Amino acid sequence: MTDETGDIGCRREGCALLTDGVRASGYEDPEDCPSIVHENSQRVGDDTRTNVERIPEQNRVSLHSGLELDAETVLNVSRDVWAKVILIAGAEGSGKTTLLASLYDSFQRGPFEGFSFAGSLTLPAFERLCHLSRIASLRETPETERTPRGDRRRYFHLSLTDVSSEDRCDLLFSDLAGEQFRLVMNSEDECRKLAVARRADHVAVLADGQKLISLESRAAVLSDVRRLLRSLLDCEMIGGQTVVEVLFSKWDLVKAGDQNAAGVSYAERVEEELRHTFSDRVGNLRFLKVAARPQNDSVPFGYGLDTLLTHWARESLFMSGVEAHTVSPEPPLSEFDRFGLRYPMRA
Amino acid sequence: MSERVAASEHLLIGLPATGKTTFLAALWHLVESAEIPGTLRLSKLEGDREYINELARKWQQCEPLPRTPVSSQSLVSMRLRDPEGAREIEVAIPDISGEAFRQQWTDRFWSRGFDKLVTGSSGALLFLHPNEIVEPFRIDQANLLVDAAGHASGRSEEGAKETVAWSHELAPTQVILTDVLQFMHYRRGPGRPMKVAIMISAWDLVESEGKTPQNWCEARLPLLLQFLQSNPQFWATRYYGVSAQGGDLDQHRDTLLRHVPASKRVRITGPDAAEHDLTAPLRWLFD
Repeated sequence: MTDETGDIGCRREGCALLTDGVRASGYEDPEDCPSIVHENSQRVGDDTRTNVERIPEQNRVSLHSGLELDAETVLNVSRDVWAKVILIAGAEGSGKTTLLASLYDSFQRGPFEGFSFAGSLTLPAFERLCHLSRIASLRETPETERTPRGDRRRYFHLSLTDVSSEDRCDLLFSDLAGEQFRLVMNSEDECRKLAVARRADHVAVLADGQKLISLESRAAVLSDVRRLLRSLLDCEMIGGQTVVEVLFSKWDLVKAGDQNAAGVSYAERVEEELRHTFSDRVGNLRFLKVAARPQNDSVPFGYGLDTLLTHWARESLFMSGVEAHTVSPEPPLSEFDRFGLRYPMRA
Repeated sequence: MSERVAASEHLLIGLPATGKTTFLAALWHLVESAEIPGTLRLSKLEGDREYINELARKWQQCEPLPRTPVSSQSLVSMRLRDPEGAREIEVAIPDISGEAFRQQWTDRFWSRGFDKLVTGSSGALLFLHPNEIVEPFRIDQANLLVDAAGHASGRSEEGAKETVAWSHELAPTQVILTDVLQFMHYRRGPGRPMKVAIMISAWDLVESEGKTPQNWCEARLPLLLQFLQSNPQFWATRYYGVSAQGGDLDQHRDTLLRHVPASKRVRITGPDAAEHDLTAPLRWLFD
């Protein structure tokens, strides 16, 4: 039998395809049969044709793209399943993407802080995030790709198992550009557009440690965090249902590059003031020191991420205040629905 | 008298050069020759055997086995019976190119034919080769090693020189395999769990490390292991170390050719597996 892709046959004894060339093992379309072989191509030897060249479009089964998810998908999914939404906020260059990359990378070497990797719908996206810190990039020093401004597809998925309890936990992380948070600080309208904040279980605001050790820039660190939290609170995007973590990032630089401990003292002052201003306006306010990818050996790789992950995975005020989940009767909207929802996210 | 058991199809999963075809060739020789007591053996010849006979011939002569072309889905069918003759099993194993699995990760689709295989298979054998594993080494780790070795490290003053942009092809082995298994999980759905035998090929290269196959996997592919262990409701796993060729063809060809019977070249270690019983994973998949 010949078709547009060449002669085809079947290796199964007794298959009708061998005699009448019409049906193969009951499949209307012989190409559907797993036993089908293309006679011209089954000879052992070099064959460099790609899937794209080899499999006609109508004969393809799509799999999840693995790309970052968009905000609509995150909101849609988080309504229907018990995924925790983590909004990672902060100014440009404060270390949001590096934090996320290092968290994912921690599981590449084994379970992390009592959690075991259980899956991800965004594996290629995570891999791209980590690329500039891997030797495969052929770089000599690790780097993080700058998050594209205005890109709405910037959400990542990570599924974990709590090793001690065997509970499953799904986390959805944002990786939005710092410029977007600048807009949130400056405009009520822009703040209200950040709909995912309203659904966030955790809002992690990064206070750039590198700026804390500079007399010129440290005041701006405090005011950026203060403005951001005030904007989100005043627009009622976050509140009593939200756990807020203020993360002093790049703590290795604060520790090592600060002979007089001025940065450490200033961080304490930031903590005191923010605690005084916001602690009774959010569900929980916590301060942590992190160094996702230290540039010196004063702290280990991923410093502080262990504690942070434990909070993110185990604590949700949002979920404790809502009804048990119900699956939306609406048709699926995105690939996350198509692939994620048929794969229960909660054990 | 034999009790006929329903036929089953098993997937061979693995990236290029991980020993899938060598396993098939050695398996065919083993079941056809019945040289090793206690193993499954061929009960009846089935279908077109040109492909597998040619592979087995090369295996017997200790010739390198050719790479499976990416467009091939050569199906190897065997009707086997256990040594006591109590039952017969019919096994169909498509020999799929490792490049096809890599392309699934890259292109994010597969063919309808392969989809039928995934949804219809009873189980899978997932192949790993110790020399073909891309690990997710970080730059800071590499620089530490270089510094510890007393070198002035490869870092140049002007920073990065020629760098490589990200592409799917650069991903670590454990990430690619995890995503391919996730594809299978999604396509089958949560109600259709799957057994997967993790087959570490060329086990002779690493057995001196003194690890069990599972421990070895834990050390070299921890993300994959976490994924499998975190989803026990879907994935049932067993780990085997396999030397289907028996050793390195370049270095030990003469020694390997001297084995009598030839099946004794084969070595396997794992649960319920006697030293040369390459059929042990199949028995487990079928049980």
